[in-house]
Amino acid sequence: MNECRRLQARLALVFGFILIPVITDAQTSLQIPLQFDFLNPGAKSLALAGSFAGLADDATATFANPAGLTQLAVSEFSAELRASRTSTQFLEAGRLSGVPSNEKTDTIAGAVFGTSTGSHVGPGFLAGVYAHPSHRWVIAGYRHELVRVDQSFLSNGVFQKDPSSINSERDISQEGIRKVDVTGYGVSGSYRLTPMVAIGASISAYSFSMDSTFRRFNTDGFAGPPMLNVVLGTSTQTGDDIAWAPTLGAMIGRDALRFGVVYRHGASFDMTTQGTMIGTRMGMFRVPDTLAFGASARIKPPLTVAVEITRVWYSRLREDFVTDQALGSGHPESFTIDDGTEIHGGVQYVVPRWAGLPRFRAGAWYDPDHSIHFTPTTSPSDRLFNERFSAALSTGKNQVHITGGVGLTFGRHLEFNAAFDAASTTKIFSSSLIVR
Amino acid sequence: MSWIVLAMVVALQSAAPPAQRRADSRTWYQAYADGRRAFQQGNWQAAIDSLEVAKQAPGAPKPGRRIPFYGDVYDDYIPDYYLGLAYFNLKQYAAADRALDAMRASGVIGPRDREYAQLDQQSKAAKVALQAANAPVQTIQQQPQTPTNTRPANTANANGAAPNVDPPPSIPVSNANATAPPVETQAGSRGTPPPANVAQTGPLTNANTGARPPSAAPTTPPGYRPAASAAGSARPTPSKVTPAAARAISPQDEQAAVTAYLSGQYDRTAQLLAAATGATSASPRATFYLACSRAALVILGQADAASLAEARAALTRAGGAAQFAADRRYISPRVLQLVEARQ
Repeated sequence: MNECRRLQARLALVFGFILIPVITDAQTSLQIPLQFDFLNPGAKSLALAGSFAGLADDATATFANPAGLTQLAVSEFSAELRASRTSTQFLEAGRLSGVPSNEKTDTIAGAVFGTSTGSHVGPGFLAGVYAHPSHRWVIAGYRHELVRVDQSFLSNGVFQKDPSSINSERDISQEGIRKVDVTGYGVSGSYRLTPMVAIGASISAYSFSMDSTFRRFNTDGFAGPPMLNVVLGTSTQTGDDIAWAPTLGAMIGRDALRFGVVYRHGASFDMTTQGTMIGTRMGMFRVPDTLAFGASARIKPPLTVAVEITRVWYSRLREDFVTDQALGSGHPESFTIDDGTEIHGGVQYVVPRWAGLPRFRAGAWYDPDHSIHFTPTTSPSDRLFNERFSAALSTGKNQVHITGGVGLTFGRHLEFNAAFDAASTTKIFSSSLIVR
Repeated sequence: MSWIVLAMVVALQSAAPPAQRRADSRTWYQAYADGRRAFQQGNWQAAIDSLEVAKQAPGAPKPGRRIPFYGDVYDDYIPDYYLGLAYFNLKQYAAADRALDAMRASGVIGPRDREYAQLDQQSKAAKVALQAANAPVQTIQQQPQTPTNTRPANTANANGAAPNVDPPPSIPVSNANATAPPVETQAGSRGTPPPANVAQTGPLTNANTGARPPSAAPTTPPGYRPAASAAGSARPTPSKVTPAAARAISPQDEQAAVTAYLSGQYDRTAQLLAAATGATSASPRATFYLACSRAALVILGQADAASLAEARAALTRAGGAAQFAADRRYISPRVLQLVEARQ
């Protein structure tokens, strides 16, 4: 390697610049932002922008707010089919600093971002609710796909140049595949204390599966494309665990105006991070806790409005899950995830006269940026490191999701709902069936 | 943690004093659903209890069609309709009349609605029954007979918890979605005349007692054999008229007999009319109701083929059923079909 560099230095003296690939020790698996959206299940909830803590009037209350279950007058079964498509931007190629050499792949000035698209279709939610004839208590069992992440990306490796140096550098080409599944199996119970007050709780066994692999490849020369058959190193992050977590909820009010509050403790799972630089590290993958305050009002019989404010402690993801990936960089403290406060609002309008009792729903919710943030170090020697990660982790942003949907009733026992959620990086479609 | 909370809740529920446990925490729609379910099961008193709770619960809406219950559950909310029918079946005619009137006044049930015919029938029947109950009742001349039923008349109405009675064939008590199963008549209830004064909804008083000779109240009409058990396992045998028993019948008695018929007390109707229709003073209408009551008893399996023959003979004496157009509306088509078979 030293001989190679000396040769390049000599060539640089001839050509005026030096091309040196960076054998970086900064694990760039963090360069692909990881986002979790903890949406409430059910098409109705989705159409109402997830503002369901203060409504919680169907079987999905088992997750959204168990206290709402006592509203149900009869037992019911609910099933949801959910399809989602999530796009995530990552730093794919380009030159962040210096002038492109116009050799091979070093032809673009500025960062080039690629898009990793993951999609999933599956039974998002299944629940059975038993309403006791006394109407004082209700129990339910459910299955909920809490997290489905399926990402893959291939980074060409960006080019950089420190002004104080005559050398250009190149990040190592890297491929990443990240799959994370969290599925909850829970039981819920709700009890009506008074006609106006109900409490509820659930306990869920969450099944966790994570399989992330990051491979770094050599390139065809300094500026050439990655050689996918020449692996320089591999790091993994894996986990397969089951953990329990509770949810507590309360609901006050009745049809005209109702308030709900729900606290959901995130489960913590064992995981393992392996890498050339850090060896094998055991850690925990911590699902964020959430605390939601919601309200719903039936302004007029056909018109219902629901709002919800949800605090999500995304920062729980940082410890171990993020820091272990960042250890190789030598600056794990530079990588953080902010907690976020979501604001949800939805409205439903019913047309009782029409066949099928159609219910039109719309909503919007504010989704704060909860991607991994990078804080540059103060060391001048980290200039390129700071530049690279500042660019790579710059794509996270606040988003506003627009939602909508419709619900139809067939007879006394069957209800169908369909909904969508659209944001710049996320598209979700959901349909659910409720049998009473 | 949630298990602990649930366990605490269950413990609290178990430890709560009875009075507290009885506290009704149901929402209006839950109470309404319970009331409707009880109604469909023929449990009239439970239906009334729940429906009254539904009406008085906070947030209860006005009666209407496709009312939002909870979530996306919309349904018809017509508590007075079910209340009226349930009260009627408990022979609380004043309450039934009031509830059915309220239902009619709300305008929710119109001529095109499936409940309309029944509402109309029951409302009229309740008024007839109420009118009859409020009219002075003359003592029925009876053959001396040892009372077999010592239960005071109107006990059921007096305490507001009358035993269930069979829905009259002419007045089905269930709506289109509900089929109330026939319930065996409790001993004593068939022997009681229609309620006298049920103008109040609370515990009812027996205003008739004062108008009735002391000996009449606890006694049963001639030929009446009350059911042997509360479950009605022993079917009463319909009375049969004999020439010796023939006597005149007053308009009031005739009305009482009609009321008994509309209340589903066919045996009682037959008893009241059987003795009278043998007399020349018996009206064709009374004879018509006698025929119908006996046919109803045959349908219910409480009378044999001979009774059917007598029913048809009575109808012949009455001059046929066609002339009683107003009354026919209250008679089950099945009864009419049976009794008119040879007409």
